Amino acid sequence: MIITEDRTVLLVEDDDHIRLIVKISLSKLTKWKIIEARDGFQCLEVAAKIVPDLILMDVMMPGMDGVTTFSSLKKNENLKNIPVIFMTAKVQQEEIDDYIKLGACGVITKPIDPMTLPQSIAAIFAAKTVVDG
Amino acid sequence: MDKAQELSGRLKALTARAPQFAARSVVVALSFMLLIFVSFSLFTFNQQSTMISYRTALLQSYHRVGHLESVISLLREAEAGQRGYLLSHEERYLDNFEKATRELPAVFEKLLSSPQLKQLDRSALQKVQKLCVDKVEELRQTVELERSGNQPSAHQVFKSGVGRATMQQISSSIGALTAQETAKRATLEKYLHDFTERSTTATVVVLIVAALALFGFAGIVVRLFVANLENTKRSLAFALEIRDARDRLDTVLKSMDEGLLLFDTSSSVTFANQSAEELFGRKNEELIGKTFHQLFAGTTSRELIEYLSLASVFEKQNSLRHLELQLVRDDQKPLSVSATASPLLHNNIITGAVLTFFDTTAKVESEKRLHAQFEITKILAKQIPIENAARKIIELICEQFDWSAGAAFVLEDQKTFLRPFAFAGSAGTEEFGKAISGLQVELGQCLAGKVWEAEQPIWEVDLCATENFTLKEEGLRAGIHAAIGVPFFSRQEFYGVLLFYSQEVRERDQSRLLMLSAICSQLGQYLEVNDARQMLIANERKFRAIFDKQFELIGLLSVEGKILDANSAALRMAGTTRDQVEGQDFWLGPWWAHSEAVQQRVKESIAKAAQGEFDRFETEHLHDDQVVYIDFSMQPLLDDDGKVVMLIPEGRDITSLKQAQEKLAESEAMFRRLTENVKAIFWIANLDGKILYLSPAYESITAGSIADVLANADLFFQTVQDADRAIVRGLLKDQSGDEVQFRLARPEQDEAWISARSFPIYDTGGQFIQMCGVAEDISERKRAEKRVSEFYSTVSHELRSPLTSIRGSLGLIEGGLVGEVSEEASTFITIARVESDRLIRMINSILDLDKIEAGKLELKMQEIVPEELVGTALDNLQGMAIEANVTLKKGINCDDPIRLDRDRITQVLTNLISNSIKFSPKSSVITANSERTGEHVRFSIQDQGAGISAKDLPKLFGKFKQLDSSDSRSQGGTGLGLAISKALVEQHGGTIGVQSEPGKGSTFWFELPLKDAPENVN
Repeated sequence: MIITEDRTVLLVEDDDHIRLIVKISLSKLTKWKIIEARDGFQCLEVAAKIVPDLILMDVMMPGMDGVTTFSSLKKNENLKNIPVIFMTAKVQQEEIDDYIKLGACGVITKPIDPMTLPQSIAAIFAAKTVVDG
Repeated sequence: MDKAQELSGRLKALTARAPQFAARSVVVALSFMLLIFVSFSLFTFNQQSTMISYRTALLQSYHRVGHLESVISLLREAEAGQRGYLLSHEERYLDNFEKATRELPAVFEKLLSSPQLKQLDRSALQKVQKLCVDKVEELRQTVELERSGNQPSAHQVFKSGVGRATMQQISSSIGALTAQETAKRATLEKYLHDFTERSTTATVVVLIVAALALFGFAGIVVRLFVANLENTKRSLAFALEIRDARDRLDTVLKSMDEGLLLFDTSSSVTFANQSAEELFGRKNEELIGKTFHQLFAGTTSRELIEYLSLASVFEKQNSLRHLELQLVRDDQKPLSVSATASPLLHNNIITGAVLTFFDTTAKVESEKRLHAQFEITKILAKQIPIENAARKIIELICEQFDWSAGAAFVLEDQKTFLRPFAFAGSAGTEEFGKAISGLQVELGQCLAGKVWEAEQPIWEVDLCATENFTLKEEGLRAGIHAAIGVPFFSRQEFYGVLLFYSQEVRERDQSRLLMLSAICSQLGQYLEVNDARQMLIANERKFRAIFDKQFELIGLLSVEGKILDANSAALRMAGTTRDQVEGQDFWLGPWWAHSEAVQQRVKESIAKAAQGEFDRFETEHLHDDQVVYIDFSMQPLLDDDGKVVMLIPEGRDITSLKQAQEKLAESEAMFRRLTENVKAIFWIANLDGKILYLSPAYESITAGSIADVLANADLFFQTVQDADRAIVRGLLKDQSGDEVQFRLARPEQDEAWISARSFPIYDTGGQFIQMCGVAEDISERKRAEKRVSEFYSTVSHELRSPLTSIRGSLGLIEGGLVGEVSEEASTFITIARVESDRLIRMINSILDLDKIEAGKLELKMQEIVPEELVGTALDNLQGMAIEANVTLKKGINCDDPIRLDRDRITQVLTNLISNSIKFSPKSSVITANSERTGEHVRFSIQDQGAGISAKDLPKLFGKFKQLDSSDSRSQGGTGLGLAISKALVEQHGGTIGVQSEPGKGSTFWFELPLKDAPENVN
């Protein structure tokens, strides 16, 4: 996923401030179209409608958390192939490993640097592409 | 012989005398009886004849009186007839008259013819007869006158009375005679009566005497008979005795060791016993009839020759004793004998000579042996070293018994071979001796080895001709041939061999073998005695040493309680000497001087022990005003008969024991207080898993029963969750002391976590004997940890969210994505962004540290070459170094791969290097090294910074320990870097440290093991 390509990214984040910062960072520094969701339910709803190219999702959210949402996505035939990158404030390696095992495309730890966030996402995709062959 | 002859003679005499004696006894008996009979007959006859004569006289007297009365009556008849006729003239009266006158002469005839009629009586009778004749005549005249018718004349005559007067005269005469006869008869009857009385008495006496004589005689006869019977018996006994004597004599002659020869007067042998035959090596017939000369031409004893010519015997009739003769037998064997020659006398006449020989060959040998043994005893008695004694003994035996050389071998301590012990030999055997001294003889090898194997003496006729003789060459050069080996024993065990060598071939000689065996047995006895003596001395020393050196007080008392001995400890305690207390009454000894009660108790104890009872009690002794507790006992020492011969008082200072007991009780109580009050489980178990002790907390923690678990340890495992059981079982074997955590199965309650550690228990000898451990309920801690962890997690999340916003906002502003800001504002935006980055790092570090300390950090071990790791860290920090104007360089490099978690150790290296960069002056150099040190790899970062003072060094690796807060702020660190590095290194089983001197820079280092410890790999 290249930052200069037109892509749709679904950003799922309950914290309005962070959602705003990430949205500005990605929309200013890439050509991606950023669609926002405030929680898991919204995420599933929106994703079903637009089927984004990437879901960038916080883990800890009220209502339906990231992991549950992810599972629901994976159960949906239409949505199960959408790559998901988790954003988490927990930086424990095991956690990261757990998410990868779960089928996440990658993990970005908070706090994020808005200036390097698009590169980080691109790097995750690049690595993923290499791994998946 | 003499005895036999004598007995024989006596028997003969006895048997000859026996019938003669019997006949003589019968004759004597008969004669005696005849004599008695004749005497009795004569006596009786005499008595009877006297009595008959008396009776005859008496009878005749009666006859005569009858006759006299018939005279009277005849006269009266004649007178009556006459008168009748005269008066009647009847003729018939004349018949009576006629008849009377006719018979009267016949009566007188009878009277006068009566024997023993005395002359006096006869004349009186004749006178009466005449008167009677006259009377008859007168009567007749009257009758005739009457007839003739002359009656007047007849009547006249008748009337004249002449007839009457005559008649009266006759009557008175006859009356006188009759009276005389009556008197005579009375006398006779008196005589007869007296005689009859005497005769009867005499007869009775004679009968008694005869009876006594007869009895006496019968007695004599019986005695004679009995004596004769005895004689016969004795004769028989003699006969048996003689036969026995003969038999014995035969036996003696046959079995006697001495050779016996009998010679007749012509000096020829008449008898030779079996021993003589054997001794001289000749058969009986070869000996009989020969003279001694003919038998032994080589005999050298002049004396014996003379004697055997019998000249001496005949002349002197005395014996020659102990003639030591050296004879030569027919088979040329020399023969040493001791001979005794005696004359044979018969009725004091010499009938020959008897010669006994005694083979003294053995005796001579025996004397030599005794002499040798005496000498050996002398040698052994000198108590010189046994090697010297053995050599001297060998020399002695060689000299005495004609051996050329001798050697002794003894079994070495391991009993695997015989080693030479001593050698002695005559000239020429030195080389042989030297060869022997270098030998080690194994079982069955050589003569010595064979003797060892057989444990019997062995005789080699020619040693050098035997096959396995090791020293054949040396033996031949020394001229060795015959050899003998004799074993000797000590305590019934084979000890060694004595060997003797001869330079000539010698046939086996039993007597020599026996002799050497005897000497060896003497040697063995000596060795035993020597051993026993050594042992006794050693034991005495040991006993004395034990007695004196032991800490216990010990002594010896007589049964009465007098002190015989006391050991050093006892003397020392009382501050006395052996001499001072010896002989003293024990209860009055210095040990008990402080208390009469104790003295009394000791005295009682002595009395008890003297009765054979063991007594033991605790008492006290005052020593330098300190109370010493003594465990005292009094033991009787009994002899084999169970009698008390001595008493052994023993005392043990139990003061420290008492104190220890008190301390033990105290410590026990403390232990109890500890185990009962500390809410932790203490346990001790055997190596086989059996639990020996479990503190009370077990029941409150696990809700199980201590008694059940002590009985069956498996019950404990059932209280553990299935998944953790293996961990708990491992705990019983784990000697590391490391903490192990496991969960109890408590379905009804919250999850219970137990933390346990186990430790090995060693005995005083260092032997691993038991396991012990402590376990505590850490559920609460676990919950707290969880809460803390959650707290950390939550806090970090809650901090991160605003920080993310802050950092993101600042990033957006700083990056110019949200419009231009003034240059001045941009500076402060950057400051805010840097500090928020630092705050984020700090939060990350806190979480890291928490995680490491909670043991939640998993290491991903892989093999890495240290040099690469150092290179990566340096590369990562190159930018920072350039910024700080500091040069980074690699120093020593290690190429040996090491197992570690790449990211974590890189983190440590980065930490240390970035620290150094921060604190290094500009233009300084930082050197990073990795080097192998034994089983470790040492990483070190050397800077040229300000250095750290010694007092600050210990604080360095603590949390939030930047030494200077102003410094910290200026350097932008979190204060957790070194603490995290330390935790990571230690989790790798490594160590971390710093060497620093103010002004000279610092070297931070850490060492990791080449091989990762298993417990570090989760």
